Amino acid sequence: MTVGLALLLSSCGDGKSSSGSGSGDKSEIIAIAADPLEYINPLNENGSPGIQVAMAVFAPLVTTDPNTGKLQNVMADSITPDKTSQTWTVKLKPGNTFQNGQALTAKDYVDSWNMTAQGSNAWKNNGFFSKVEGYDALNPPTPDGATPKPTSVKTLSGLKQVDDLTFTVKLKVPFSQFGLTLQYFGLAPLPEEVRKNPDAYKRKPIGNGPYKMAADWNAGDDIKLAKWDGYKGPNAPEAQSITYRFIPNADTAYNEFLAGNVDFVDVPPTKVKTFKSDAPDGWVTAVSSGANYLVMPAWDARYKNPKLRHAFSMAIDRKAFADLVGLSDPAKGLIAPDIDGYRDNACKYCDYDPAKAKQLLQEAGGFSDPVIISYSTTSATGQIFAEAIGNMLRQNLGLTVKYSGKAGSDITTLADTRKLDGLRFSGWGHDYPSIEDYLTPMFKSNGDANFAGYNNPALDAVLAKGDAEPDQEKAIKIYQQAEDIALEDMPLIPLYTKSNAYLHSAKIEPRVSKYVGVSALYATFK
Amino acid sequence: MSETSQVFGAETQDLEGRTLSNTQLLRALLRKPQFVICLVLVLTFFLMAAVPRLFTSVDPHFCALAKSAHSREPGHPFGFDIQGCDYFANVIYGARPSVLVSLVAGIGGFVVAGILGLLAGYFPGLVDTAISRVADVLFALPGLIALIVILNSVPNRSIWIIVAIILVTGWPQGMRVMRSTVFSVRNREYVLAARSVGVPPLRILRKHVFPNAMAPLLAMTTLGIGGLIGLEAVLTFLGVGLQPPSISWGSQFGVAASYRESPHLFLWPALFISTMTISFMIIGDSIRDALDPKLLR
Amino acid sequence: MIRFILRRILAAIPIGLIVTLGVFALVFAMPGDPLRELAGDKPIPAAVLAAKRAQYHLDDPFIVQYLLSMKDMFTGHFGTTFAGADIADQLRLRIPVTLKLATLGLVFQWIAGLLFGLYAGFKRNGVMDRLLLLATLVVLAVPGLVLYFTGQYLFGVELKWLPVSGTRDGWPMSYLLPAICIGITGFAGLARLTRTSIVDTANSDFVKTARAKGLGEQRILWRHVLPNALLPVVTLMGIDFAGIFAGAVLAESIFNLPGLGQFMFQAIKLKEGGVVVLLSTLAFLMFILINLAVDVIYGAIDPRVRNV
Repeated sequence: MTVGLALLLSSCGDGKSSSGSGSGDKSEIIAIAADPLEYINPLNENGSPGIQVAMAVFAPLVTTDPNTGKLQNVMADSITPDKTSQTWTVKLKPGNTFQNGQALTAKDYVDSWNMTAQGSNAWKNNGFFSKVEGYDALNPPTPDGATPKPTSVKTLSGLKQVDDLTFTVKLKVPFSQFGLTLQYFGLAPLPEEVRKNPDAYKRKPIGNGPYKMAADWNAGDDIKLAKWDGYKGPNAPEAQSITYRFIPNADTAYNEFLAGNVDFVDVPPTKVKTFKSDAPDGWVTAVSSGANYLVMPAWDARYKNPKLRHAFSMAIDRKAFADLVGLSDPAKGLIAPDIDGYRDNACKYCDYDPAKAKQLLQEAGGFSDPVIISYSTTSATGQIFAEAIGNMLRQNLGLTVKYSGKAGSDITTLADTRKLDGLRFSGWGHDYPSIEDYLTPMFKSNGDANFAGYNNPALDAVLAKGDAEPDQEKAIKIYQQAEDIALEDMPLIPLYTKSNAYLHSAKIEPRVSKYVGVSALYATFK
Repeated sequence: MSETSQVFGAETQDLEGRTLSNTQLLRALLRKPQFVICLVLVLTFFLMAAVPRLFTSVDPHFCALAKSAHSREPGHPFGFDIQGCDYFANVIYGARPSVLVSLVAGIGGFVVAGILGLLAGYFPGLVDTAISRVADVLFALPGLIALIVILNSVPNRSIWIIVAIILVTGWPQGMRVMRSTVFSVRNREYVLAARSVGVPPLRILRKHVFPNAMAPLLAMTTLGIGGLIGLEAVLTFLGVGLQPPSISWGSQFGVAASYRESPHLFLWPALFISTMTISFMIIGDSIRDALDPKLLR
Repeated sequence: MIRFILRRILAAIPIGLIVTLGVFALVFAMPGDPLRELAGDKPIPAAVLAAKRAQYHLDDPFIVQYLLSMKDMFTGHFGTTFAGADIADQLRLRIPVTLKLATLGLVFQWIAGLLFGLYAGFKRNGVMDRLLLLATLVVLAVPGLVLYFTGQYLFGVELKWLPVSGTRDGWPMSYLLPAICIGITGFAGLARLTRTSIVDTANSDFVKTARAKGLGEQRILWRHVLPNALLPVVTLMGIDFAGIFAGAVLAESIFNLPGLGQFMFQAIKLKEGGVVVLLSTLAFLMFILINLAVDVIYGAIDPRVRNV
């Protein structure tokens, strides 16, 4: 069937695009394989579909230049730290407005961010501001079961408007990477009109980005955007109009593309082996930002010995496992390959070597209990991946393996309370492209995403040194030392890094950047 | 199956005064070639479920991930599964849970739905109301949620729990079909006649109503046997199916649904499941025909 | 008759309450924390979690949560889903979609099932009977998923006769393909049952008597066999009808039809008790009405069954 499919489609990836594409028609239909959005509000959105649409309607302070990988100003004129990297001054470019005509000022940022930092509003990007001084006053601890009341304090003490175009952010502790974090689209400002009553604007966002809403958007509709003339930022996209169509079933979205009804689609996991022949002239791939791990529970003394962890690591055939996952590569370290500071020889214990693994296991004193692997039942492949790892541990190390399938959030809760018995999978994608955004969350003793419950004061000290180093080159070198410590202790066993693949119609050429991946929004038209 | 035919055989013996011994019944059945073929097939599946070692000497748990989903090669007639284990051995070993589910849930469901449908259809009024309203409740409860909740809350998902839930939540459908046929049989002449001469209700039910009303339910049950294995596949797909190291056709189906570019993963269990289901269906039809009091005239 | 219907409707009220309570309890007992599930991998600040939990009453005891969602349901203030969708909006959007899909799907299923079943039943062991057996085999062997994707690929992508997915082409174009798929996956059961029932009835005493009386075959068929054979058939059709709201999940998902089945599936995944209860109540109402109709139809088909 696969062969037939390829033959039938050899002409299909090209040529059959939706609108028969006259040369002047610069419109595209982008399929989003997710449930339809219910609102557009960048500050209350951290999922990929929502951020994807926010990227068209809103503009960030700064962004990563797709050609050089360096930070580039968008709404900001400059972002400068003080000597200690604790207080940051943001100056805005003059003359920018929102799509309703209101001038974009420092007040819009300060007020929008204060709203988000207010815990009782329950906006999803609240956590971003936990680094800012005064966050705790807006997010007092709530006893279990109580309703958080709006606090009397309404503003972050660390956030100060200096003049119409300048504001300062004071952090709780010095942080050399803060400037990088400001490229996050979830920090885009809302105009005053919207801030007064956000609920009324759920389906008619007013942004400051390259596109504005072109038509009413009701439940079940496509999102139709038209180019907005008022956008003065760099790298304005080419498309005159963009339609986002929600097709929750990814295989269906793929078929819609093959039928020529959409111009751009993600390749779903079920098609990673066939997409190149399905659309021979219309595919692109890019490394996705993130990495995937097997988590060793640091709270379980039986798994404490680093030699044991190295033994587990070397019993895993990463090449075969990456093939099973599809469109993936064996991991060679703890960070994603598209990040500054990535080394493809970082991990010394990631080669597949069953004999060495056995020897290490013996040196560690063996392991007689059954190894329990927990997997999320929320995804159809969780059990398959768990079994693959389990089979290798069983056959290469002679261990007994048991499996435990649970709801994803149950596993998280068990792990957070340090009650999870055995191994589990986890993955991390950075919020901003920095090696630091891998090491701090996952390996710092109080990290946000310290999956393993790992704690090593030596590593914390190295990270603090990196955070305080203003020179980025030097900072990266210091962070690499931290990565080495983490690999030596190996609370997380690196497994694979994933690529994403996309199909596009003949009339567009998506922008592909080794720094920011593939973008249909910034596609060029033929 | 022989046990089942004995049960039905016993029913027939004193049906309307005619006698048909078990041997006669068996002889009648064995004269039908389709029955014999299907019986052999089903017995083969039972044997496979009971003693898989007879069919393959390969260890189904020996896997080489590098061979994941490879197609067949010498010594591995069905190729390899997604974990790189020999697929032939896995399909053979997968028979046990699937045969158990289909058999126990199928026969159990037939008995439960049959008895309740008989009672509800024959005793309108309080009995019917009680049974039908309970069925309403069960029918309206989303069965899939019940499965997910219960399977998630038990520490070890076993085939028996799946069977039990299928039995508890599945009977209302069959009950309603049985009830409807009993409605039409209840007022037939021979039932009225039996009632008028004072034959006790249970005897009437057993001898006159059940044999004449069970055909549609039996058709539904035999057809549903494949569906039961399919249900186990859905459970695997939802992540609440049998966990490794259990092997079953259902979970093989569930895995194949995620890896559609390797059709052989789906082909072999599908072939086994449908062969078994069809066999059950034809056996069911044959037995029904052989037992049918009306056809024996 | 009127009294019978009234009695059944009155009886449905307490059963409905039991059903809502049962459904809510099931959802409540489901594992997993919906808010964490929604948040994905990213850690959520405790204050945000607490605010969300309060907004959806997730910290209240079970019975309070249940009563609150019943209150919402009866006052028509459905509120929003955890993901932020307006539930009333969703119902307005989804109920017509599901009704259109279900009717069309059932029409295909019933026509194919009845035609095949009747014909195979009258001509037992004839060509059509064997064909039916073969068709049943194929339907059993090919799971819905494969059938749906193949249909979509063949008629939508390759031949372009019908839309691939979505509702943009309106009724009936957008619904034809999924409805045919539903028809194919479901007709075999109905056909087998019809066949068996016809064969069973055709051999019974009263038909033989009729034949002995010298009545014409056509008359025997329409006046004696069919009415008696149809009772289980009508029952199964009712069960199918009631079940299609849940059964259409797969079709709705693959053909991207925003119907109730998908809504229910989402709600179950996220443990949204209120939404699940609301949808279950809708399904229950349909079910009660259909069952009532089926029981009334019994009487119309076979007068002896009346007064049930």
